Amino acid sequence: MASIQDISAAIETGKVKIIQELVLESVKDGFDPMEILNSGMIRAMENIGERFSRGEAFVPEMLISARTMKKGVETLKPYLAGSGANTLGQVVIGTVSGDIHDIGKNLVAMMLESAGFEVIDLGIDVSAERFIQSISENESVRIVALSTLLTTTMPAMRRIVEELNQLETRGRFRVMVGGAPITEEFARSIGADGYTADAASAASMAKSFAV
Amino acid sequence: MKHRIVFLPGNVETAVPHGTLVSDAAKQAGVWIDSPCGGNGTCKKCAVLLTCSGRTERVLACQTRIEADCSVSPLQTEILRPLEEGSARTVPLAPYPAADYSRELACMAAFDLGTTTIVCYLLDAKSGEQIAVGGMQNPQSAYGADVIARANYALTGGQPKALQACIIEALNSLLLQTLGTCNREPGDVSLITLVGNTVMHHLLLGYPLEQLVRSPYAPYRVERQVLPAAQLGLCADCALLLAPLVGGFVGADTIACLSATAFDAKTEPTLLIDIGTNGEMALTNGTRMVCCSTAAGPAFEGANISCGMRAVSGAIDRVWLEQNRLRYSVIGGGEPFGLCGSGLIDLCALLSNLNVIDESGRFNPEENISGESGRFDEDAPLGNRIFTLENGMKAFLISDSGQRLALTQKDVRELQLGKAAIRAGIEVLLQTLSLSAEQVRETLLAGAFGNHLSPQSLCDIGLLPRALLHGVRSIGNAAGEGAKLYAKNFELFEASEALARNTDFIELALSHSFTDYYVDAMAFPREELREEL
Repeated sequence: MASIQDISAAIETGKVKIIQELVLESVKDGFDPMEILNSGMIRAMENIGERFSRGEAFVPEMLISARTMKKGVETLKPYLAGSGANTLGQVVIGTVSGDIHDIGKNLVAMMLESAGFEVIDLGIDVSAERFIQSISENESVRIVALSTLLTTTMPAMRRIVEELNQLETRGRFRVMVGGAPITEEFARSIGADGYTADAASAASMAKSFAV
Repeated sequence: MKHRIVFLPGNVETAVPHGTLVSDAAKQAGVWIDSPCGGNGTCKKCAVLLTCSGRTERVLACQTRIEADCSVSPLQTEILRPLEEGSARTVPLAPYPAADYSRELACMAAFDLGTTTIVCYLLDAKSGEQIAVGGMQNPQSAYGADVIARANYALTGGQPKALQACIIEALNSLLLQTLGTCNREPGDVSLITLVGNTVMHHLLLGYPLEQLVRSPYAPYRVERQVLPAAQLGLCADCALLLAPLVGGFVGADTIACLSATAFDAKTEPTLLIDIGTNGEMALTNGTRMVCCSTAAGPAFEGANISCGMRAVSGAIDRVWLEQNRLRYSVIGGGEPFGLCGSGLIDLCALLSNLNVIDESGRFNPEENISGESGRFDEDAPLGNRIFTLENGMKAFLISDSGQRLALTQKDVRELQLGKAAIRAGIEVLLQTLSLSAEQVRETLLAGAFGNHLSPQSLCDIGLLPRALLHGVRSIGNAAGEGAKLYAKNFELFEASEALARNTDFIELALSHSFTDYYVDAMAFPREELREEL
């Protein structure tokens, strides 16, 4: 019999090979799929995020755990239907123009999706125009999230946030930024609403913005 | 009170007040000492030999104060290790025809301009024989450790030409120094060839970098060139041959490796990897050549590793198990001072094989963990050497004789990032050419430390697919070899253009499978689990 703690432990230690079995077993044993998602999976990623912030966990673990989580969520998805997932609104996310690196951005997108957002992923090398277009096309955008890996594309991030800040609709969404070279200070200086150092805390921050 | 301090081997002398840091004295004397951590005493890259009243000690320049007259010499470096026998292809001596080789001591200079290291080879113009070799750290390191940081400095630092001036000064100084070792002068230099990665090439020529550092990372100019060396400010009045580039992240250094190994003449699937900060690699199936560049990071060069150092004297370069005891060899003998890339790879391979590091890269919590101080017992199981550092992080005690050396959990994580990037690059190239690792006949390891790396350890940590094990061959500094070949044979230099144009660049960040391969390759291989993956 699999417990929610087992699922949590499997995600934290990156046991990608057993996660599917654990999830199916726990569903069969009658655990609430939302409970499995929240207390088992998201909690585990939050733990890793906290360990990451404290300098106890590192990028390889984040990635290995995230992949385990992804597989777990895929397995769980059929059982989640109709149980009230994706109610927190929409997130538009993308890697800023000039940059094509998306490992971190994908990690954040996955965490946001698990946290209950509908994620509109614009992919890589995304211009201000494309962010703005997506915001105007989607009524319930609550968060716009921008990522960059290279120091050389930080100015592009600044320009995009400046353009977003001039939108008439700016009041209905928050802007979050992240990526290896980004700091809290930089985020503030370019007029973003939030910055987090890792994907799990990005999801918690997005949630706090959305409620 | 002032003390006299002499910097060897150049005998540069200066006088400094009592208590001055060795690193500050070096700055005052105009002697460059590498210090990527900015003088925090954490990176250990500024280690030097300090001799005071007949006693020589290995110290960190940024942490040691001068309290008497003394001399400072660099640690003996191994970057100039010659190529292994039989690695170089032979070409007839037929250099650039429009140069004058008539002087009695006429020679040719071949530069390998690396992000971290610059090497200058001097060849006798009449015989083509190598007569001298010199090397130095790339002084641009002061502007950033990697190419992106340097490009960013050039773009935003306010002094776009500072990096160009810095590199030209370094090339001149290295050329003069190397000429000096074989009693030649700048007037004897009849020809210069140079290979370097794309950013180094663009910084040298003062080309615009804007389009190079933003998607699609396109170079300003890729073609091979023949220029008057003096036009760039080099101290020799002769022609400068610059090899061609493939693209933004695969430069002339990789093309030189391909030329040196006659890569385009391979009829069987062959892989070439230059293991370094940028981890460039190329694969051929006998008809098509593809290449890529992976952000392997500087872990293999000892940077970002708490006990890491370059492959210089005092570095542990090999680690193995002998009758259940940890054994290691130290470059130059004596007590170990740190771990260089090959030592790091050997140690992690060993710890993974013994399950002291688990599959995900964690120090295995099931192993006995000794108290805070760590217990050092030659005969105890290796797991007993895991201890907890003051900051709560786990670490593995390597040596406690002399200076305490430990491999931390974070060090293992840094290795994982580097090895996963290279492995994922290999997998993407194999996939692009629809090859399996089993079909690859030969794997050529290039790079200054390629000669020291154990193929077994590389497979044990998962940097290389295990199927490649028996075909691995170290070829040493193939980029430098290519630069020499271009000097010796102009036809080969001319042919490099076609080689560059016929090699397809694969942008890993745009490959859909890269992330999956990358995360897969983070883990340490476990044979029994292999089939499930």
